[in-house]
Amino acid sequence: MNASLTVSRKRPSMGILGWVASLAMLVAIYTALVWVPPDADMGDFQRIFYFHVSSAWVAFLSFFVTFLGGIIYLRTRDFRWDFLAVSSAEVGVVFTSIALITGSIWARPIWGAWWTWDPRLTTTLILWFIYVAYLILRKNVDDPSRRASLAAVIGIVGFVDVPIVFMSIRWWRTIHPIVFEPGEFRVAPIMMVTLLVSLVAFTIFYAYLVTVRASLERAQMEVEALEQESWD
Amino acid sequence: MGSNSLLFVAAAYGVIWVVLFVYLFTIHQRVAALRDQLEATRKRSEPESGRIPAKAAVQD
Repeated sequence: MNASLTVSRKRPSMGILGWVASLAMLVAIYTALVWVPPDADMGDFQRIFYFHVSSAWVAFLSFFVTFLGGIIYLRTRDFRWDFLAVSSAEVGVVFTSIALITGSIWARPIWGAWWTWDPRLTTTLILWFIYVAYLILRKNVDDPSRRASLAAVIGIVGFVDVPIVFMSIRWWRTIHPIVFEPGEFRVAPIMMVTLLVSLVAFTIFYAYLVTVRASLERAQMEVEALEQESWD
Repeated sequence: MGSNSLLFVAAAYGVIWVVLFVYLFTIHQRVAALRDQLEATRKRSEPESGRIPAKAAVQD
């Protein structure tokens, strides 16, 4: 096990990143719910879009970090990269769930259905299943090195679905809106600003969640190591 | 559309905050529980002070 396992004896606290993340989220809520006017066609339903897109962005970012953490772990065998990968994967599953649920709430009044087997929705659901499987697998392997290696491989292979999710609305016939095209944004400038504020806030919040979640993983590993020592 | 649309917006934002706060709270609880477990394991593995080791007691 890695020598860098040092867990603070302090109780968990918010820290500066936690306060910055909370403040950024409050600003994002204000811009999305109060500051930006309702959409000319969709009215207030459009307000769901800002946090829905931001959740999907954070999910993609999370799985990219898991992919990267997996590659670096396999090269270095340093458990800190495995902690980062699993923490990011779990946060990614949370944000994918949020993107799926908020998308469904938006779809009901706009499309007239909570769910449809649209390519974007289907590939996103597959993405969710891949990373839930990643987390379940980790729970079922006791040996830390074997667990980290297997998880790294799944994290790397599973990431293949992320570009498929992103490109699905361009490759196949879909009813999902396309907001980003090369060199073009299909929303009004004030809505673009609101979306950017929300994207930044969600990214900071992601960093905070991963930091807290990684401290849990370190503590878990140290408890396992100490218990192993006391048995030996 | 008015109140109906606000209902859907409230539902979406409500879900986001409930999910995020429950997740964050759960992590904090798990970290706190693990730190307590860690402290207890450390104390168990450290030699207890002020007590004569069993081996020494037999020799006396």
